[in-house]
Amino acid sequence: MFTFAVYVFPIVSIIAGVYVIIRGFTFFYRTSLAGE
Amino acid sequence: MIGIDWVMMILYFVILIFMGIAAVRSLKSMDDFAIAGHKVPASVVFATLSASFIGAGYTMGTAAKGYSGGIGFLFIIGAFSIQTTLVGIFIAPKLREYENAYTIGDIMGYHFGPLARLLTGIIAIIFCAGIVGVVARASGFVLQSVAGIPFVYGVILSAGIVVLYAAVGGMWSVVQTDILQFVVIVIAVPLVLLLGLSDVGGVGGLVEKIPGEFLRPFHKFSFVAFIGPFLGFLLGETLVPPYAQRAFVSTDVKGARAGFIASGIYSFIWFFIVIAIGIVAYPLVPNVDPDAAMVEMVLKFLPHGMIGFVIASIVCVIMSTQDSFLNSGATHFFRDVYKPFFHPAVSDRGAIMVGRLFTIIMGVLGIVFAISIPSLIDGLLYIYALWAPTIILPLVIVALWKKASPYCGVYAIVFGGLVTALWIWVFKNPWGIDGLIPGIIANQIAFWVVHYLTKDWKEISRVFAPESSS
Repeated sequence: MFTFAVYVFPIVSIIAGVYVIIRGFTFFYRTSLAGE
Repeated sequence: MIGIDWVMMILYFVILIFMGIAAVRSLKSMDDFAIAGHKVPASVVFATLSASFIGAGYTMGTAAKGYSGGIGFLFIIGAFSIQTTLVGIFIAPKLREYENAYTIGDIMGYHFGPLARLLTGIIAIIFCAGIVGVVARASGFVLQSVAGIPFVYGVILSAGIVVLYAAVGGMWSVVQTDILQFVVIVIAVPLVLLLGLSDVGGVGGLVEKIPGEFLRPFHKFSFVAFIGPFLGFLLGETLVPPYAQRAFVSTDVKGARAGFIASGIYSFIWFFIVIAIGIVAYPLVPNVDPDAAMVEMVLKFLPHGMIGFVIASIVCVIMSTQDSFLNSGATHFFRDVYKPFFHPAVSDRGAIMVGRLFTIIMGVLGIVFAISIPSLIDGLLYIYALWAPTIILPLVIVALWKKASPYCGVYAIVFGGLVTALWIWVFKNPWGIDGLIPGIIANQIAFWVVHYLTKDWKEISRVFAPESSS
């Protein structure tokens, strides 16, 4: 179990980060820069 | 750290301040200052809630537990993940249904009247000031150990940046900067684990170099030693002011639910990663202060350039907890104390000024706390004691069931708080039982006894009259 989690969880975390890069920075652009 | 690390660290701070200040364009009213105008989508609720709870305790403090005791702490701190997921399923959507709520005090006032609102606001402000202090201390510690900045100056520098953007842009700045902080930390920290694991020879190599009990979860906990901290993480941080605010910022009920559930699930992944970093650090950076194990791993395994960026991000993730509690404390002051009791007709412009001023005051208070509370996790647990036995269960009950007598709230808050305070500070935690447990029991006894005694009363005294009835 530890062996599985110690490799899979970091990858899941990195994917979550990439997802928020796309969604979060779009939100930032739309609300703070474009002023929508 | 070498030159390129300093450049990257300064670059990070510049981007952060830019995002914080840029957000001021969205700030037009107190709705924006306190709850970002109800405009935050689920994906960003997930990021901002996660960035708020990932602070010093849940990074360096948790890695320290892995470094000194192995995986066991995961099954204690995992209570926080269970709690956040359950809140996402059952409570956060209910909170979001209150269209005009900015704070938990609004909901308590709506059901239990102005005195319950005031008590909730005061407890929330004390709670927020305490956490601001704890995290100010942590960022001072990191800046001292990594950049050689004297502790007091580090505390003032980090708190100063946070106060700047939190005061200028309110919740909009908090949410926007949380996005950057979340992204950097959740990508960089797992990389530290993978690189460290590779260096130690994979899981096989690691097992040979750590004490056998490190991977046996329950080797060092008796039931009593386990259940106290478990309940602390299960209830102590439930719906603390800034987390509840994340339900209010969401665009709709679905967004609040999805954001909280995603954050609860992710929190378990995060705890595992930082505890595993602590375990991997045990053979790789031996004989260091456990609280410094994570920073030592970053310095050892990340390439130059990235070190500066990640150290800045660790400081900033600590700061992102601080900005959330600062904004929340200011919002509670405005909504639960200033507006209802001093200036009900305050204009939007006046409201934002009050919010900004109180943000600055909270920052100064936080610095004072930073110098007086000795340990990160212990500090958090110490402050937990004030929140859970007073507010949580009355709030959860009225969020799910609207028929409670309006008298219940104040009595539950007062009895829960009194019993907790006596248990901890007068009786000194008899039998090793945490004050949270008797406090919650007293809170619930008072709540239900008062409910059954007063549920049929027709005349309600003004201080207990629900604001929903006015």
